[in-house]
Amino acid sequence: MARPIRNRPNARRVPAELSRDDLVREIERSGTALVAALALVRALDEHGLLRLATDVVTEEDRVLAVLTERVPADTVRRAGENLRALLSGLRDLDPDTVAVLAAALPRGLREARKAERDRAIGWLELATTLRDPDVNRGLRMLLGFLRGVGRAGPAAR
Amino acid sequence: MVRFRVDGTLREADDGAVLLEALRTLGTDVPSLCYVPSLGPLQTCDACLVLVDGKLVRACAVRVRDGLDVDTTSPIVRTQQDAALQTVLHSHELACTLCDKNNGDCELHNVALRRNVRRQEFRPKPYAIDDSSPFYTYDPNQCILCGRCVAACQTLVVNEVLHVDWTLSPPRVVWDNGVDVDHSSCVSCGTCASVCPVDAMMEKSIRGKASHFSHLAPESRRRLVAWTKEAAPDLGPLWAASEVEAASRAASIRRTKTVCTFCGVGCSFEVWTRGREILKIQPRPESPANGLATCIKGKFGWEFVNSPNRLTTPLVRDGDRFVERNWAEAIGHVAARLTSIRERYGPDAIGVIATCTGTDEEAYLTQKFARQVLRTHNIDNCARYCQAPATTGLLRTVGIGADPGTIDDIESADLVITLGSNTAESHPVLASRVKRAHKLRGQKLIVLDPRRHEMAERADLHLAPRPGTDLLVLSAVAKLLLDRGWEDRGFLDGRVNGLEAYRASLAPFTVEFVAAESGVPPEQIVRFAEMVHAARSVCALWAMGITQHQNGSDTSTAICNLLLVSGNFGRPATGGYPLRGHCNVQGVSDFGCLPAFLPGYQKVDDPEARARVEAVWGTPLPTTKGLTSTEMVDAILDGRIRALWILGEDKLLADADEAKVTEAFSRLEFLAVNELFLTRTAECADVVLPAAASLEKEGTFVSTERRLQRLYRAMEPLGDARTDGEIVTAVANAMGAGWSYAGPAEVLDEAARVAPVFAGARFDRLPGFASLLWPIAVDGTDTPVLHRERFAFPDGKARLFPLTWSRPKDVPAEFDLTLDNGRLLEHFHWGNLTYEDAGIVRKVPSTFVEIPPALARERGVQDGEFVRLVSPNGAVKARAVVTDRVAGTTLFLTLHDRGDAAVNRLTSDVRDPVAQTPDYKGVRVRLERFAPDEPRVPAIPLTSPRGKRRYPQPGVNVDQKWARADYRRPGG
Repeated sequence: MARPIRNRPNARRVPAELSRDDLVREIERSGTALVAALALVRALDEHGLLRLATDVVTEEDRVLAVLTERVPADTVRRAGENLRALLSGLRDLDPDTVAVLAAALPRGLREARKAERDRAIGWLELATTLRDPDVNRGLRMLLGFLRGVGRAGPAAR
Repeated sequence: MVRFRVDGTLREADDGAVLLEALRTLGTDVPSLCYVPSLGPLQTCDACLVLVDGKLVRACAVRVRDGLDVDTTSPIVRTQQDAALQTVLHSHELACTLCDKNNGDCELHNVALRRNVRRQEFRPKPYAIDDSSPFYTYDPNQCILCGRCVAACQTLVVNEVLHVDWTLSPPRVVWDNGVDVDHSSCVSCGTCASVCPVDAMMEKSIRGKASHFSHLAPESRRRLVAWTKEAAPDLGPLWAASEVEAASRAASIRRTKTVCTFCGVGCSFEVWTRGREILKIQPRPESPANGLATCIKGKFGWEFVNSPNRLTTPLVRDGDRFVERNWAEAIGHVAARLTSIRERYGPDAIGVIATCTGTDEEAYLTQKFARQVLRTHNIDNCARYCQAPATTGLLRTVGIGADPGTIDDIESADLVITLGSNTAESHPVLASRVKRAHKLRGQKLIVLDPRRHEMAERADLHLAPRPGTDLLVLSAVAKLLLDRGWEDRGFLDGRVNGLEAYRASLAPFTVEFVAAESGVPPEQIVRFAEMVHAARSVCALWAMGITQHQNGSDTSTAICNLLLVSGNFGRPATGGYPLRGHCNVQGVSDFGCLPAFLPGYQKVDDPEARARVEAVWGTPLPTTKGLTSTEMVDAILDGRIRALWILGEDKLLADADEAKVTEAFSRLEFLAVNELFLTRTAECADVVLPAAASLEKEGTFVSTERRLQRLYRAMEPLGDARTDGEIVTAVANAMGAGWSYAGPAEVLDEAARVAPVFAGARFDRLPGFASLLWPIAVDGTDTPVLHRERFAFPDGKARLFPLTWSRPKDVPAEFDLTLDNGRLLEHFHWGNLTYEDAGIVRKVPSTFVEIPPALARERGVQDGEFVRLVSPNGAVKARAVVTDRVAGTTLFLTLHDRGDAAVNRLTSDVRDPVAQTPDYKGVRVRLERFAPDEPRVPAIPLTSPRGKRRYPQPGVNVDQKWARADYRRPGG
């Protein structure tokens, strides 16, 4: 042994840095995923979204400040409450009934489109139409719906 | 088991079990925020209220008994529990998505979620966050005052710093008398942060790192929380958001069980990492040696793992510089040089020093390399510097050179004697078990040590014998026991040989003679004997203050003799415990890195043992023992040894007489070193091989208790570093060994075939936090307490070993002072690891020498000035600390230095004749003022806990909370 050596050639290495071998290994292992990721990055870049995302993240504190100032919390709260109320109402619907109505809706819309083109309807024609069993059934359902809404309305409560 | 009724159903539980635990075991959900089994009932949160026999009580404070009628579901119970929870929530702002604690283990989050808490009324407190400590923060605004941190500090680790000041409005946790954390007496064990159920007490290393949003600036965070609270006053949707966010953290945060890399206590814990970044250390209740306790190094001392100073590429000497080489070149170079030297000078011209921080499997491979590949028994480890004399003492008397029991035994003993051990600093977590037993249970404590360190301050009896005279005191006490008929006659008759010869050998050790020679007052010697006599069980713990003397083996033997005379071996809560200093110094010795022993302490000159090993290895072994690590230095100087391979040992600094070792290294033809850093030893090497840290490897350690525990790889080795096992295997194969181990599990399997004491050791028997204490039978049965039926001698009887004592040789009068030396809590040996940690350096920046006040006055030395210590072997320079921790003519130098204050510039190569351990503690020096006119700088900064008073409390003092006017008694 000669005299002690105090310096070493790789002293500048950043500790958490991957070695070159590690990096090459990782790239080889992830080849397909990297190509796909690059395609996504390219698309984001072409549409300006990459820059947008970068800028938003970089300026997150300012963006957050603007967001919390400009978007009133009570608006969000009301929106949230409305959404919850709607969801609650939807929860109480009978799925079978909703399925029937959902199936009937497109047909009704088609008929409505056709009827749009018809000439104006008179009283006699209205009476005749009421005799059509489909129209009659639809009207009964509509009246029943209105009755239910009326019963659940604020005055009834 | 007793039967009791829970919500109308008859159930069973252990008689006397804590009701809360019993209910949880039975699957009954009772909320609680303050209860931790190891801390006992704190009764601060009131969340576990249940009806027992019609009365509203806290389930944590009730013991199960026969016929108990427990109601956990009545409306009043639910109402009271919810009310308690809401009270807790006044003190803690729920912002779980932004919180670094919300990793599935925030207990408040989990309880509130389970109880479907939808609203909280948070009441901010007028206190600022305390982030003064380099290691952890305290946020009073998030503190729920459960008192866990206080209980941990006061009754678990017994550092006695924290308390809740219930007189404040609102109350808060305070350090000492109200100073900030950094200036308090806090020793930074971090146990408070480990037990905190919320994010009030949190490790800085994880703050801002765990949540995807916690990195936000404080003002942004405040805005976002305020906005969210207004936008979503109902917590329901926020629970969902925080749960999703927390679950997503698991993708990048790993929790890996490991075993501490510092001292030999064997603390185990999870290390939380993200990639290479260490987020925190989290001990677990099931950690067998430590439970939830840690020390500053185990909890916070891991910065070295990612230090930019780590070695990451093999280095080969080229003249006066190192050049980087790839592994193939470096391994080829080492193999070629070792082969050449072996062929030229013979196998015994090479020595190998195994690393005490490597795994058992690496140790096994290292000694196998020496014996099978090199064909020499010149293999040793750092136990030579510390505990080899203790092993000798145990081998002479009880036949097995290892701790006879566990830390649980130490904690449950009636009397603990520590000798030459600054336990609270060198083995802090083990010390906490003694402090706990002493404080809570009235365990008695005797301390023999020249310094008045923490354990000495706590002791019921502190004896400060002159260095090297402990043997006298121990023998005098043994003589007193026998003279007064206080020996354990039945034990001696049935289980011990050699009583009469031993009794005769004690004749010179009269109290008067011993008092005169040791400086211990006669009444203290008598009191010592009385306390041993009064105790039903005694454990003796000893360390370097005993072993690092010329008579280290004999003094260790004297300890064992005393324990045998008093019947304190072979049953629980008894025995002699050398406290091992490195994380795996026990395992490296157990697995055969000793010149006289094959794995499992089978003697190399025992043909039967050799045959057993040869059958597995397929090669004949040399028949005579090799050289110890210290003898290797002599052998280098006289030309018998030409090459050394040192793994993970800074031998230049660790061995006594640095000048002699430096000279020896200069004569080596080849020196290879495995290391994490370019240590002083590595600087001398021809080849430096970058080694992996413990977090980067798989394997097992054996702790001081003989406990095998697994460590799992938390991260890949840094750069191109490799594990010592991989390096040894590569060199062995380059020299033609043909090893083909699939991994460390296979190595342990082979060791189990070679060494009967490890017969049943297997990786699959050590999952997670499981552990086994050797000897381990083939069926996996382990042995927590040794010698229960027989001692490890052919007739099964222990042996009293007669001893003599001779006064140390005189040294020139100019060396008029005795130099004690040793560890500090914060640092580890030469500081190669701990000086890489900025927080630790902030607490203790450098080494220093303690000088008694009277001596300092006499020599005109003032605190903070540089002094020189000169011995016959060399000199060091360090700043003075004037303190009454030392007295008379004894100084104390910390050993954490790699340069001008390295203690082994002063020590000589005088050794214990049996164990060959240097007499590190027998140094005589003179004291010189070095630069009296230079500005004085305190060596101990104000931010160090050293010298500060403790603030003991019985616990959380919950009665003070209950006495407050604003406390509403549940149901009252």
